[in-house]
Amino acid sequence: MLGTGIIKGLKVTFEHMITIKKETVSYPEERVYTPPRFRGAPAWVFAPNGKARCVGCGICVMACPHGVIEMRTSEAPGKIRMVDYYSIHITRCLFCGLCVEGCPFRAIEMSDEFELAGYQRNDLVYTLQDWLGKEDREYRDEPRPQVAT
Amino acid sequence: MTHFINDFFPIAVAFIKSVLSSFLPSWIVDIITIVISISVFIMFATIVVMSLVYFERRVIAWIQDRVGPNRTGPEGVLQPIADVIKLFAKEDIVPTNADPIVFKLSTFVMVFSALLVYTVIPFGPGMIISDLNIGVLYAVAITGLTAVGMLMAGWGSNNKYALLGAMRAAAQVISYEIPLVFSIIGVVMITGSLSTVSIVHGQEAWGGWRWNILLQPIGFVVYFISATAELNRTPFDLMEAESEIIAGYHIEYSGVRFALFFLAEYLNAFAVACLGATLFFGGWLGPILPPYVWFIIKAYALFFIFYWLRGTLPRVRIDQLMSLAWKYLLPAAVANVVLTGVGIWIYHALTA
Repeated sequence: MLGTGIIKGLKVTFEHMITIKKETVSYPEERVYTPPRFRGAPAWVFAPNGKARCVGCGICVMACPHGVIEMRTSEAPGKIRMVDYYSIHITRCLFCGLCVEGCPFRAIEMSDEFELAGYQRNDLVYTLQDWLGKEDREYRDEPRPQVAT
Repeated sequence: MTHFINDFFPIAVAFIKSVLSSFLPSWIVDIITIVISISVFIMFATIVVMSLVYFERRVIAWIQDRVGPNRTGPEGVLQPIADVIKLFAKEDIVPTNADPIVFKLSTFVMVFSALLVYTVIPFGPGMIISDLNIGVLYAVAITGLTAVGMLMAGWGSNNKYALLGAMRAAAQVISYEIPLVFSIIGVVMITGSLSTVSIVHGQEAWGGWRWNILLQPIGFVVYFISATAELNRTPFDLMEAESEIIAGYHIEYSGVRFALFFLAEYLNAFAVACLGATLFFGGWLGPILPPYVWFIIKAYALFFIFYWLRGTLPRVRIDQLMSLAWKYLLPAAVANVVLTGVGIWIYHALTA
């Protein structure tokens, strides 16, 4: 009959109107789900004993197509290389993941950090201190599974 | 006490009049009371429009499983106020090649024609600006004036999309005026009067429940569909179709003038909802609550159907639009008039 389709449609929309469940997320209060292979800002992986997995080999610096990563190392007694300074200039980062792919010690990963705004340019240079000083730093044996191993 | 609450506004007007007439000549008192009533009414209308915009955004959001504006103020109720402040702060641009007089005048034509309809809408007993004995005819005629405003806006903007939108608006409004008027004729035949107050009084039988919707269901459906089309609301928003002609006739308007267009659009829509409540849903009639509260509830409930339809239906094609008006609505409305005439004849034959 003429018009039954409209009534059916009105019924559907009314049911959607009275349902509580929403498809959208109230962003700052609720966080969206980031999948395990999400490519956020690159960050170091910290083992459960609190130590970083990085040995300072510098392969990530060479792998980076834009020269985003900057690293300075020094030699400690006992022929141990210490990373003194490590920074990622996030405004120039492509999020390509080549640093993650290149790292032989799986010491760097693409984190789920996607809120990358800052008030100054210096806020956008992520240094070692940013990760070390982070309150909710995660300790994991393995980096996030972005790269097939 | 009940009397005081029910007739609050007429009593307030009488009180102001009595206070002022003790020290002022009567003609000044008349002017002052008229100015006060009009200012109160315009404030009320602005608040109503803001609430309608807010409810529209929330209801459409709920239909689409979203949350809608909920940041500005508690549950986002201050969102329309923020929008208005934003619009008033914006630059008022008149295009170089526009016809400045027509361009500027069209906003006022729209707003005034929208406001004038409220002259004959009875918000409660005694709460009508002017009880014209041709009230319904007047309301329909004034609603048709919006087509003039749209045409002026479309022509004055000197923009192809604006002109296209205005031409569509003119064609659509004129086509749907006819079924709209025919759908009201049934109500007028039953009541025997064109005055909106008499139409409400005519529905007082059966203990205040003989609403015209019960006697005129076809009339109401035709009225509602043609009113939706006449107001250019979805699914009949061909003249401001965003995906086709961007915004239609008000494409070149910005700032305060756009705000006035927006105001006029919602004022028109609310006027049609009020008229629908008056003609088909017993106006202010209803138990317990004060009459004006009943009237506002009915008008908002009718407006909710506009939201609901907007959330449900896609836009119609231009040929579908015209065939709906001329092939379906007009014959249905005429048949409704004939049926009503036969019904009234039988009723008189039985009761006489």
